[in-house]
Amino acid sequence: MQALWIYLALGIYIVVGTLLAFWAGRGMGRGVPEYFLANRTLGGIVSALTYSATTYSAFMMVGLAGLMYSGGVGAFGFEIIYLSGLVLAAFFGPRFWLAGKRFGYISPAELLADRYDSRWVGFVVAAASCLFLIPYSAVQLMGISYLLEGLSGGAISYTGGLVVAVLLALLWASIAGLRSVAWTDSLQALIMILASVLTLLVVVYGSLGGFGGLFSALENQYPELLTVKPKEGFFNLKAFIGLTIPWFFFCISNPQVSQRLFMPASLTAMRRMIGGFLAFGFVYTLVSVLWGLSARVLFPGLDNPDMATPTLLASDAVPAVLALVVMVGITAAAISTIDSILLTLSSMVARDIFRALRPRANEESELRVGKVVLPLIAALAFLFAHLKLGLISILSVAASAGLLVMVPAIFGAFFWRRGTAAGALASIVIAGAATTYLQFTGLKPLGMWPGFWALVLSTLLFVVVSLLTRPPTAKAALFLGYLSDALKKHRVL
Amino acid sequence: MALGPAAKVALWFSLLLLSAYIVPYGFLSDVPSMAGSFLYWSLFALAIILFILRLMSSWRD
Repeated sequence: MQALWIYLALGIYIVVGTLLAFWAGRGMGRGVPEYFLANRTLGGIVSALTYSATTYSAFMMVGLAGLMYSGGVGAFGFEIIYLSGLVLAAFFGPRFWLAGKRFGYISPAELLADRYDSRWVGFVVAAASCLFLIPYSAVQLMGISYLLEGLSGGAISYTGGLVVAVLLALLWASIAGLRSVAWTDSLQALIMILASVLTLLVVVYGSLGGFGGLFSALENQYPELLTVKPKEGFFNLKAFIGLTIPWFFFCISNPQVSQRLFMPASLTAMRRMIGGFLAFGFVYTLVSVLWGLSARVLFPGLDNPDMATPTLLASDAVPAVLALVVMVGITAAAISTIDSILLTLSSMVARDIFRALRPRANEESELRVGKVVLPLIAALAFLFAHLKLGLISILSVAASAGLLVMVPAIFGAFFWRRGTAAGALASIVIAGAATTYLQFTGLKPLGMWPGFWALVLSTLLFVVVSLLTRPPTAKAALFLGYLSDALKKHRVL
Repeated sequence: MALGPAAKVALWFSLLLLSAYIVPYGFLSDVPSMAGSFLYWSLFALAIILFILRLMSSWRD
């Protein structure tokens, strides 16, 4: 693909996105909730689109398509289990939202810190989030840079792609905080879904004789891709369980996603956010996996399954104009995830780390810290992506299992009066360290994956240590008492 | 012992979720067709979406 066309497509994307970001910031107010949460006023549709764009990264059209290409239908099941985890958003969403409004929480870490009456809980949750999510962002940046380098035949260098991606994410997060992130996310979500659906239809009807042709080719030539077996293949049952446990809890364990539960203007807006995301997620998942299967039928001999999407895009099956749109769509998927992570992490550093160390700091200095930290986090992600350290990809892979250790403390905050700060801290620190160790060494005790052990260990530690320590009785009564009444009033189960 | 509404929802959801593991790995592992696990997980996703929409339908502002 000619570099000039790539520059042009990226140029249009960047200009339109940046104009939208400035438009989103018109009449923006002051203060921390305004900058990080759009003052809790997001409408349902924008909430759904930003939720979708933040959740779905470049992994879908590249990594998931590649997993489907090589591992078969198990990849589809794995992603569908993720979607089913949205029941947790429907269950915890109103609770986060009500508590956030009543007690003024900005981040999920702050909610836990207040509920367990310990700023150190917030500190540890924020620090662990940075530890896992900065490398995760770096890997997203690496993905875009490789894609642009590959599609342009080297005309856009790896470092050049990296610089553009990180500056763009930073710009869109800085212009108007969450408002610019939410609106650019919305644009990007639409590009992601439209480009991928349209291109899939062109590939399937143009080169494979329609879906009937694709399905019969798969059934005749690759029947092994259409089944999962308990003890065989990449998606054997233990691997499937190990991969799906962190995925199921993703929407409450990942702060850049759970922070979005504070943002809708009303419960009606939240219902639209979750419903809209479910529709988006189902379609986007189907498209990504069918995309991988189409690549398998058209280009069966690839050594590296991650090349399935770039190969399909560079082939005659996809007209050049559409390939450019999909390239922008994949870039958009990554940028919209990275800028949301940048903003969420900077809000947590400002509120949960800075204010834990300086409890008397006022809101203005907190906001100043957040705005200074934003480029620092972006610089760290850039540095990690530039160095291409093996450690970074391991930490990124460890992110989903590593963040899972926060889940028992989140459940406990809403459903167990006896939960304590010591229990939360022990479960996050000790189980987090153990899970990361398992990821680094590749050990699988009893054949089970780190995600499984993350959940078992963190739950055990949270329960046992909580029972051995004194609960914050007054705080629990205030928090849970308020929620109990408010949930009844809003008719939430 | 009668189950409360939240427990009933959790029970039904757990059964549905378990089926996403048991059916493809237990009953469809020898069905090499798009009408096998692929179809099952698609239907499972639709059932989950309806389940969640139903769960949210009572919410009032």
